[in-house]
Amino acid sequence: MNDSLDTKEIERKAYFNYHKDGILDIYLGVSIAMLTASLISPTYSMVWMIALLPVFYRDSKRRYTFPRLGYVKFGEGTSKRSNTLMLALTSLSVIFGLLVFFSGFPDNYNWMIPIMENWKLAAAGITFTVLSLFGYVSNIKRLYYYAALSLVLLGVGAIIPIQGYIILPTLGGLITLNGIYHLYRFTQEYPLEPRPKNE
Amino acid sequence: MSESKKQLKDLDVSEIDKLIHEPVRLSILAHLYVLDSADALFLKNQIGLTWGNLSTHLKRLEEAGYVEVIKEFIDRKPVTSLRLTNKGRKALHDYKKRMSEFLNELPQ
Repeated sequence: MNDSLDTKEIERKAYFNYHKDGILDIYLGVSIAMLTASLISPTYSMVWMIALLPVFYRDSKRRYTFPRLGYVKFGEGTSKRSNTLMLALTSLSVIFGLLVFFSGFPDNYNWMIPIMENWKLAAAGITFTVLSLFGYVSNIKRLYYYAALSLVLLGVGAIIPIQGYIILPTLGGLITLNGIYHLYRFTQEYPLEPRPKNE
Repeated sequence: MSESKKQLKDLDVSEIDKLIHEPVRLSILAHLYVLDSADALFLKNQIGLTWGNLSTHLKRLEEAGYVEVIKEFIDRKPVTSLRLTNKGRKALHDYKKRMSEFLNELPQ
């Protein structure tokens, strides 16, 4: 039996276990990869498709997490934290979406030109800030690693001549792969088991 | 008799709620204190219990009116959740107060 009775620790552990499945990472990685499509083809922006991801996220939780780990509804404080996470993810896609949208009118928005010319540095700043905020609010430490990874990949990409559109899918792909690895470990740690009949 | 020993003697240990004093039940109540609600599987995984052990303790807590069972639909699927009642919350507060008083009076 787990002997810890520190209420803060109980809440932290429950929240950590809830996100141990890697599903958040998978959708985060996919979101970042989808942003690339918007940069490649601004006229066929996929940014707005990110709005559908919370629906798929919720469905994945229902399919994989709840039958294995169990169902939990967090208290008001933790729910606010989750809403902040969603707000951060939405902000990330909106910022990218606006950048893509305004980039279509360079003559009228001259201030956008330096940002678009140095989009890797701008993207590094945005993703680092949002992922760090994500990590701070959720207390999920691996998000800090993703923030550092985004800073390194996009920073290096700005210095050495790498084809720009390789960097974001690489970042998204690495995060998604780590998410899949976490999901695999989660399914091994919490296999499906029959519940007692009276439950 | 020293002052601290006298104070310790004055404390009535029988006032401590024995139903909560049991470690597994205390852990279940502590979990439901910080979570809005959770099902039995989540509690089993979090605390590290067997189904039999968990259901025995949950039954006692439910009989005492400290925990309530809620049948709800989450994404159109029936879920049996557990929630701490107001009585359970108050009992846990009282238990904490009594234990703190008792432990604070122990001589260094």
